[in-house]
Amino acid sequence: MSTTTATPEMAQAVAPVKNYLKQTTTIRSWIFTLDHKRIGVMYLIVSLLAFFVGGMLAEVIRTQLLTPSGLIFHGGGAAYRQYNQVFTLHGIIMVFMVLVPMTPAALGNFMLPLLLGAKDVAFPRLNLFSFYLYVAGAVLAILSTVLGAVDTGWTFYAPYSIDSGSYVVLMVAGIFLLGFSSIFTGLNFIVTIHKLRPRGMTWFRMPLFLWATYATAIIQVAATPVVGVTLLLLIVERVMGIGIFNSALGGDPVLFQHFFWFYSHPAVYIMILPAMGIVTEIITTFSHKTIFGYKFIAMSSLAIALIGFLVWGHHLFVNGQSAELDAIFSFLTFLVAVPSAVKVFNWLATMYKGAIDLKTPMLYALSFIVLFTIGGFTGVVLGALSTDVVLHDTYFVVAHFHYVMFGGAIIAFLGGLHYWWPKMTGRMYSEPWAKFVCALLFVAFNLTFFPQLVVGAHGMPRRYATYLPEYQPYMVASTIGAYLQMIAFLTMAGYLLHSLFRGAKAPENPWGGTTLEWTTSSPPPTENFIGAPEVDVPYDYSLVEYDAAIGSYIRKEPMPAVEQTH
Amino acid sequence: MTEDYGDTPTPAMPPDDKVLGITGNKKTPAIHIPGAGNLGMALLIVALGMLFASSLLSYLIVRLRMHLGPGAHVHLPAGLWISTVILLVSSGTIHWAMVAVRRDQEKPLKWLLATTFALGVLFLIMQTSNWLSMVTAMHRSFAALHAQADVLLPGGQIIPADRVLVQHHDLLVLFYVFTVLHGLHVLGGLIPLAVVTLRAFGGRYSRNYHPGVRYSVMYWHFLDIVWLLIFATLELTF
Amino acid sequence: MGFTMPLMNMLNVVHLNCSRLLAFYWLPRDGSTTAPDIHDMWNFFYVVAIFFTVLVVGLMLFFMFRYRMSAKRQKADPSATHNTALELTWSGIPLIIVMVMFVVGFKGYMNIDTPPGNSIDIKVLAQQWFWTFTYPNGAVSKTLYLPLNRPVRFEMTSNDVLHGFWIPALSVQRDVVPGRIITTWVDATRLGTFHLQCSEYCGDGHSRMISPVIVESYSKYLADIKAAANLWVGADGKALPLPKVGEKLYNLKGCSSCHTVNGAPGTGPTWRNLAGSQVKLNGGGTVTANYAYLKHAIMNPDHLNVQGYAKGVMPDNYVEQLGGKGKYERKINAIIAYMNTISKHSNSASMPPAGATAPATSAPAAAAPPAGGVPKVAAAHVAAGKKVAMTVGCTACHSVNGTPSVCPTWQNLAGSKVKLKDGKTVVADYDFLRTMILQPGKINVAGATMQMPNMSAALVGPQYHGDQRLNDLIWYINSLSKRSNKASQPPQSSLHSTGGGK
Repeated sequence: MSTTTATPEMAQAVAPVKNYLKQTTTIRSWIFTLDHKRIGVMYLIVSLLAFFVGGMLAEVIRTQLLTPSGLIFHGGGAAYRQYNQVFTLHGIIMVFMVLVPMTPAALGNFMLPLLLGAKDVAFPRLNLFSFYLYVAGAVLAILSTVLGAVDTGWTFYAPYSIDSGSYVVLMVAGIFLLGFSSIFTGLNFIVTIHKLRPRGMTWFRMPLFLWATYATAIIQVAATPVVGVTLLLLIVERVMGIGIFNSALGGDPVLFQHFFWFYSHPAVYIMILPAMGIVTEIITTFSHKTIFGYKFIAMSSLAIALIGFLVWGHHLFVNGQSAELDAIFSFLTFLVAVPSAVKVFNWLATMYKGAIDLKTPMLYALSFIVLFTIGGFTGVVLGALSTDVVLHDTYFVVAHFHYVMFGGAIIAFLGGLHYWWPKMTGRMYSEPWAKFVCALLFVAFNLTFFPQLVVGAHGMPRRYATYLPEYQPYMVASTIGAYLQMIAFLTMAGYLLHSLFRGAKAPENPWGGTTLEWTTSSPPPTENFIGAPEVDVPYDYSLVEYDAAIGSYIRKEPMPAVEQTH
Repeated sequence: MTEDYGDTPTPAMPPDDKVLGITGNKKTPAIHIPGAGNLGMALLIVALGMLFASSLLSYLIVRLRMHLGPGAHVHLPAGLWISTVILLVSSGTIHWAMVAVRRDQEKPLKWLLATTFALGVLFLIMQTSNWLSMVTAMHRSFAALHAQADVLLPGGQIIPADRVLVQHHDLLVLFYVFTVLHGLHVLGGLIPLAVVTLRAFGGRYSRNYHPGVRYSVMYWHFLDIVWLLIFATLELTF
Repeated sequence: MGFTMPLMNMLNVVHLNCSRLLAFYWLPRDGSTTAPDIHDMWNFFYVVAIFFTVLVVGLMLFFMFRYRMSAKRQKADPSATHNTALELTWSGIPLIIVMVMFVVGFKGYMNIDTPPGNSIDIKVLAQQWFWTFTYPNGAVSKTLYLPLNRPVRFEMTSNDVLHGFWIPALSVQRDVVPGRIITTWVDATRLGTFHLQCSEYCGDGHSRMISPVIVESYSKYLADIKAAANLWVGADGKALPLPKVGEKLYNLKGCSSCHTVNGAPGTGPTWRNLAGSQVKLNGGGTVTANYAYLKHAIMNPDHLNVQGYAKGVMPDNYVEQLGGKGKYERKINAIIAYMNTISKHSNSASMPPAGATAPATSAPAAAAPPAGGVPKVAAAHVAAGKKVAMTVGCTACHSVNGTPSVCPTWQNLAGSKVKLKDGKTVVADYDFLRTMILQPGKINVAGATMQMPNMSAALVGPQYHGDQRLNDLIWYINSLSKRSNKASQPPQSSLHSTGGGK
């Protein structure tokens, strides 16, 4: 098989291959599937459902905060506890069931072997097992909510989480399982990238999304066990009544915070690194220009992952740890800003002199740059010791991590979803609607979270069910933004569902991408590629050109095997 | 890739650890990935290593915060030494099993694997008995401590008797957490080892193809090292 | 809730903030001596951030339009795929900038972290969900008084979970960790009333854990803490009426964080119209919230809980919190007196006994003639027992006049036949009464709906001369029964010891 199997006609001429969606259609063929694409789709469905629930909870929070004394839960302790349960659940769902699995597990699972040119991940059965661990964890977490909602905040800070009468143990056990699901996914990805690269796919020919996924997987494997142990100790402490974290029994609450953030800060990079990988892919494709500074981007992913392990202490600046320790963590926190900045500059340099096609995925990628820049700088302000003192635990922090997690990770995920949607479903979505929603989301997002930056700087603490009247105007603005976001997301659900059933058939390469997933049909066959994929230098846009007849980009000529070297 | 991973499938014997791409009822032929299992195993060990490292660290921090005076009334059961020896011996037997399979010595392979398995079971039994003896020791020490007065630390700080009691209790609970965690770890190794042993008796492994044996050896040695670290930590701090 | 007002406000705020955004007024600048440093540092970051954001977004927008794909522009212009020197430059410049930021930030922080030597020490106690401040003169208050232009050092700890000490106007924040003493300091430079807000999530009442902070002149500060030092005396130096003292305690001892006085629901039942009212209990049954019940509920918060309010929520150490033995009773009386002033059901039975303002020193006066078969010699014991019943709170539940209640009435109890749950019948003799009081749960009386609390700690022990108190109580119960007899009375030997133990 030396010639490419690029065009659909050719593929069909060789052998009529059914795509992965059509090959078998029984329910059994889905729930026991070992196909990474189907597992990815299942992850996608579950995490989107979780995102819907988490989003609705966010709307409840925002509605409550319309008035200083609370619009929904008001009057006293029991009512406030319900509010506390709502924001706790919002946090837990969004962090552990949406952000952590969404990009790495859903898009990662689907795209990693395709971008790599492999037929599947290294351990397909382990992959399916990870998915069911994720489901089991989610079920336990939901069960704990049904039995008696947890009100500890998603951080489970001791000793409140030990005293709190809610079903913390069940919830924590659920998150423990979610953690192991994440470990196995990371393990699978590392082995896949090491061992399943096809002929010609050297390390420095890998698409940059894979470098980002690789860096993510390292964090998943090495940091997740620590939060596992932390949560396990929390359970032991609650069940056996011993003093590890509980000061009333001689334990140390700060110890819990160290352990918790040792995982949870790197976990932030589990969310943001793949997001950066997606943005990299989108920007180069829609600029129709080779990525600028491939090695710097690849290495900055690894640098972020490695430095990200060492910055957890910046969550503990105001709790009385020694000034020396504060200084070290502050220093490392600043350091992690550098590789992030490098990425932004490289993306801009990629756009320079490109042919920029402002399609929906590109708009999301550009939104990402703006929001991530704001998120990054607010992060730097929080990382500086003296300014952190007056911003710690205020809405400034809430706004900061929403800029990074939502404006960063989720916006990039949406970019990726739109970018790969034709490949995953074989259908196109409505471009005008998608652009409209992207713009609306950008405006609504800033309307929601920018006032929170201001009100935080003015002193409003986070996790308040009620607040001082002087903060109200900001809170109202924020809530209006949140409602607009809801409209945007519901519209998006509408046009995506429409696309799923009525959308135009997607061509093989609608955007002009040069990575391997665009060389197979949309949606891909179960084996991903008919024959071995041709691999050469990545991001060479001279090799594709638009064919108006089929509405798709096609490869110009079959490649001579290994001609170009960098 | 020149390294011999010992997982090259013989034509007659399809690899047992990778069956790719079952969609629905259709099985596509397996693809052989040299060394994937080894790397996966190594990463699993890294993850488990982080798990044990962080739990040991948390134990040490908790232990250092305690004000237990000299001559604490809880002693580790002597049976722990016996379990340690059992585990060390089992590490030896599984190592020889690896040597045997590399030399294509089928009979020693079978029996060494079976012995390792038996030693693993024995280890778990020993640990259970150690736990039980700790339970009685706990009751005894509590009774003794009830009669005890407050503890005066060298710095002049006085720890009330009931606080000392609580700390002893905490220490014991941590002992259980550790040993149970490690016990589960051993159990997690025994089940695959049983499968590997049965397959060895079925004549599945050869000089060129023995991934199961190899993974078991990696896991088992790791198990051994973790136990030695836990045991040393407990011995030094109890 | 109308939204027009907030919307109007919003327009105002938008207008205000447009100018603020330009003038860098995000953070307060004049609250304390450290505020200007923090504020300037913020502005430095702000300028750098604005510069780079404008640079990045500006370049992005420029490229977006300049290099936009069109019919004419289908291909990217040829340009370099990498430029190591350039990339090293734009790695190096952010590195230098963040290092400068780090050094600047750290310097300011050391200043914040180190309190000056000549500071006033105020102890801060955080608990769910209120703050208590203890001043050098021993005064305790719920309002934080701070002298202007004097450094104040806070020694903070928490009684339960993590809390956050956060005064935005004064630019000071620190987490309060249980089991640790955390210190921070402030030198306030602006007069006025501000808010101390809890910034670390601590449960139900987190958002209500706000205390007023008053920065005032040093002389006014001294006067305020002097007034706060004496619970019984007002700011004018005159003795306060009992309900006023109760109101002070309500605020000071944290009652206010759970019990409202305006009828709104809270973590605990509201105090509005509580005293003297009929109260439904958890597990069924009704009691009258008379003096005895109210006192009992404060001292035994896990017993006889009002319907809908779980036990284990209210701290059970209010006796100690109110000053411990010998001191707490007056304070409880003050609190109950305060409850009565805000209840329309208030009546003589729900008021503290007359003369409660004075310390209870007088011996039990003119005991009622003992009824039934109780010998006259036991009169002093009966009177003492009546007092015990009041103090410990028995009469919150057990009526003495035959009125049915959630617990058996004491009228005609002693010496009578009592039906048990298992169908047997026993005579309520001395041993029976003793067991019922000291080991409740051992005997299950038929029809009882309420588990009685174990009263042994309040009745027997060396401080009560062994069994003296218990025997007094049983003498009292006997005095209420016409069936009282030798077998139901305490042994005669108890009469020989000095009667009328406290």
